[in-house]
Amino acid sequence: MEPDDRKLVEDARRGNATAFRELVIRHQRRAYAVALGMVHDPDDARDICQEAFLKVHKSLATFEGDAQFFTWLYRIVVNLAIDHLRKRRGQKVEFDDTQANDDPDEGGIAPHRTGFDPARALSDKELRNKIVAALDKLSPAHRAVLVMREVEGLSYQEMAETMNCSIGTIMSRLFHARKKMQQMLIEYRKAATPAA
Amino acid sequence: MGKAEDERLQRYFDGELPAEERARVEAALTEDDRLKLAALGEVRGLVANALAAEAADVDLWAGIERQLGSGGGGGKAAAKARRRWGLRAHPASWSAGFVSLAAAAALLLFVPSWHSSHAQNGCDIESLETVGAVATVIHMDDAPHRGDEATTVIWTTEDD
Repeated sequence: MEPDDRKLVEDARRGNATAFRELVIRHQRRAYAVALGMVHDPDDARDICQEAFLKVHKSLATFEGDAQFFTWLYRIVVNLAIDHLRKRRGQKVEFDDTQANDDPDEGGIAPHRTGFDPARALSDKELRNKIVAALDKLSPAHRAVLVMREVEGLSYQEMAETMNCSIGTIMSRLFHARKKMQQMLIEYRKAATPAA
Repeated sequence: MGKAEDERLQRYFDGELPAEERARVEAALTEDDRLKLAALGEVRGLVANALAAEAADVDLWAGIERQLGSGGGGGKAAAKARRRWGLRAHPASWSAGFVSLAAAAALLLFVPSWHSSHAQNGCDIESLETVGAVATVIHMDDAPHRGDEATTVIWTTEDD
């Protein structure tokens, strides 16, 4: 945990609302990005993040000082997102390897690019919609690791702690998630480019 | 290249290899590996930039502060209320909603005084209670930092 986060948590624990506000402001965008990547819907992502911060606030007294604040927060966000997906889809959302790696294509990462410029994703809403729609087609387990890694840069160890599974499982999920994401974006690119 | 090699390449890409192994992988990188690394970097950039851009303007504090102020127990109720304000109407209730809206508009024309008017969190909220119904008019600044865009929502609730 960064010293600043630790200090803010200590202050918030003592009832300092400004310190808690600072924690929210510091982490809200990344927490929201993770939630949005998982549930797709902006309103739902906002609700999930608000609920996560409220849970954090309620549990500050029990937070262990040697843990990472953001890992704790993202674990709550991810778990709330998973609960949300279960309710929304009216079905059991599994997070074991059988479901997560249910991939008939055993090939690896393709050695070529999708053709989309990542910088364009910052300004091109249509491209962003395509990317978020592609994320939505991944299984929740794949989506969770991909978002935590690519948005947050969480280590394998941190993701394993967040999702309560082994590092091997995280690596496998991440591998499949990236591969599927690449395949979908290549397909989008082909569809967007008229044949010569 | 097999899956095991690809997974090692992924660990290299993610900076998850010990220094010694990392150096070994780096020394043995093929052209195909470099193309795969570029592809992984592209996927990362696209996902990270897309979600970062979508999250750029998010501000959760006002909602959190409100719920903390009310004891933090109104999360789901508040979310439901916000969604109603967002006009996610069910098709079956549309005609009834339209009648209510028209009734509220009529009341606005003929009743000059409102119970209250106050500004909070970029919203002006006015409400009018009458027999059997409450009409609420919400003026929201959509993007107060950018300009004067605003949305007006008329929300009516009828007693059962």
